[in-house]
Amino acid sequence: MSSAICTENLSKKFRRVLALNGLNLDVPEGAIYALVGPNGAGKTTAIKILMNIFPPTSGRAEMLGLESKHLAGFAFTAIGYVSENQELPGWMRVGAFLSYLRPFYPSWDTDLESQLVKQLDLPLDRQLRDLSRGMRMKAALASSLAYRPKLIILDEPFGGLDPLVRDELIEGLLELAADSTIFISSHDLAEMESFASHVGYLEQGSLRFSEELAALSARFREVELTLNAAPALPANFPGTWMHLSTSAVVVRFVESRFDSERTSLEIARVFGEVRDVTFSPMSLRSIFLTMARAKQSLV
Amino acid sequence: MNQILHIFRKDARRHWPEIAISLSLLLAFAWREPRNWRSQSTIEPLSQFLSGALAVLVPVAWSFLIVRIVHAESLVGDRQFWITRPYQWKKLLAAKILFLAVFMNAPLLIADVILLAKAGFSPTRHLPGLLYMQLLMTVFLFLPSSALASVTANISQVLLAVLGIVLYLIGVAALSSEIPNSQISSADLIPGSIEFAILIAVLLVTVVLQYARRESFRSRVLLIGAALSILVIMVVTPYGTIIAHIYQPPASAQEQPVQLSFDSAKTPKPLKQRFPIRENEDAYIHIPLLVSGMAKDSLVAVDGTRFTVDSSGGAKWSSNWRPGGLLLTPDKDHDDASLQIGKRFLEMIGASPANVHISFALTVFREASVRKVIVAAGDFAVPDVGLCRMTASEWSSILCRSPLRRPSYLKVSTSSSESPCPHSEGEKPSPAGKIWNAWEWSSESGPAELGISPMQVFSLQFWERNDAGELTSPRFCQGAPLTFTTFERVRQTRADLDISGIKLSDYRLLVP
Repeated sequence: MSSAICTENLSKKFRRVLALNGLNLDVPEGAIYALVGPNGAGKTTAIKILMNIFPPTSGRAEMLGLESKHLAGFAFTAIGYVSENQELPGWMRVGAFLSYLRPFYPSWDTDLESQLVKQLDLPLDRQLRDLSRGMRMKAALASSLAYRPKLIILDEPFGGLDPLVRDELIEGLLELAADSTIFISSHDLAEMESFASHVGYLEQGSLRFSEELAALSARFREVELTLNAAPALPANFPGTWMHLSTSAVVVRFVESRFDSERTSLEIARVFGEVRDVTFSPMSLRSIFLTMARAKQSLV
Repeated sequence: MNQILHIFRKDARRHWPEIAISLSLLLAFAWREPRNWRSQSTIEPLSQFLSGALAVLVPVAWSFLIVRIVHAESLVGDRQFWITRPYQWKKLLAAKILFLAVFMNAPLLIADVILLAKAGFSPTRHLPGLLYMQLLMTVFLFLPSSALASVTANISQVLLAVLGIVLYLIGVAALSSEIPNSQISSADLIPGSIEFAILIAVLLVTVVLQYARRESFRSRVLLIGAALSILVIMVVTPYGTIIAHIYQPPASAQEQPVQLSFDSAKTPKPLKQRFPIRENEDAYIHIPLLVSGMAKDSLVAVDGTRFTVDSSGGAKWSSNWRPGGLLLTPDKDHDDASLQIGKRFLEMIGASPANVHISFALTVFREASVRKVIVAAGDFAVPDVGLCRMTASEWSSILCRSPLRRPSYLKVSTSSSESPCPHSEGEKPSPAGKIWNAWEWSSESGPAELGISPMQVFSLQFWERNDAGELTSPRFCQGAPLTFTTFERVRQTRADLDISGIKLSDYRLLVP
């Protein structure tokens, strides 16, 4: 499968601050890729480099096979971009805004535009500056979907929106951009989990991991063991076990390379006979918290 | 082309109030402008103020409109919606240029054509000049405004930048007054041209760079670099060497366009200035000169003077080149050379005699055309000048209007002997053969002057002060002959004068 987005050692420095540190990213076509990470992790910087808003300090990035630094003019007819802090022409009415953008895109679909307006409940006769934040995001989203872009870049599109609006936006996005690759940044893990196919975790400008969400969920398990007697905390437990803790006869840990057979054998090796064992799937949020804590304990 | 027109239409819709204001101001200017062609004294002060205000407000409104349309797709920042849309920068720039052409250049051209026709001149004959006016307006107003708008994100930043520019210009003026020899306009021709070329090139590059790449930091550095390079050019230019090169002494005394000598016969008594002058660290001395040896059809402008004073006590003082401000004519056999000398030095040498050496930087002019014109009621045509008319002012003057540019070097003469005008009761008749001259002297070149009006109005004043200090003037009436003489520049040269044993304090201007 070819890549919609690909970066190689992408770095960005703002004076002395290293905002992005050697980012290597590969987003396959058709994926819904969630780039998550705490505020200030470098998500917006990465997206702005991808969109050729900022030049990189070093490294390179490609969007739909075109090097990002050459991204301009006609190339944007295949890319939709919505950002929470984008400045829209506030003086324009929503209808005029859509009409104004229409001729820029040869693939603009007026039927889809009407559908988006209806589905997102956009007030066409109101000026953009008079809209609520959620409505403005909807207008921006409609204006970025109506030409059926191959790639949709969304930078924190749901920040500060109430859950209802957020769900509407996600629903609209999934329905109307079924054939597109979506690259979305967010610090809200829960909302990403519901629809992302791939996930990357960015922290302090570095990508901690990037993989398919299904694979990620599959390899993380919360493990709870009930032993016959209270155990001493073993010193030689496998490196893939995280946050090992004991409480009376119960042992809990997170397995980060879960494989039912292999994990069971490892448990037997470390604890011998086990009265009961449960493997529970973890939410994306729990996985990230586990990883963040593991990192903190290392520090 | 579609994208150009699409953006253009959006800008026109968005900025119609500003467009309406600028067009209304231009319309008001064009409506009032013909009143300035009448005698200035018959125009009410309020009306004069309005005309002047409109001439300023129209360019200000244009600058504001340019800033607004450039900021509509702001080139500074990383959050504008349009930068991730399929805008093509060349088409965006073309849309903005089209906007300027439609809402500024075209209305100005139309207004100028109408005004020119209304003033009695053929617009088609002056079309090259009209187009040149458009070019000047584009280079001196539209381009700087566009460059300023392209490196700013909002009006507050623009105002801050304008404040910075004003402070910079004040600094440049202050620096210029401190740089020796830089006050002589001929010496500034080459460095001034280089500075102008740098400025225009940088403004152009800034606009194109911003539209092509939106590298605001680099563009701002470029602009600041240009401003600094102008200061550097000013400082390092060897003005004295340039003046020495331009104004070289003639090979032989016969080629000297004028003989200048000290008028020792003029009674050496302290001169009184009629109007108060401010003496700071310098004192002012007027040295009487005898002027002779000029060709009948020539004029000599003293572009600059430089003095060296050696006192008998051994003290020495030298000046740099300073603007001369004298116009030597064949019909005038005396004049004064003004010397600005250090007050301390003058007080130090006191009444002791000194040797003075004066160098004169001269530009020689020769008559290009002489035309006798009879004053008529209302407007009368003057070839190579335009249309003139008598004014109703107390001091005899005529008001002329020239299409696109004023004549560069013009002398207008009238003789009391030729005047058919009757004297009013109690009026002292002018002495027979008395000649009055009026001058229009400007070094403007090119087919048109910078401005929004195609008509250049200037007043030719014929009054002068007689020996008794009274103002006298000729009487104009219908049928009075006027001689219009235009001059052309022939060459630049230098003359030197040595004066021995002069008591400078005798020729000091005293502040009343």
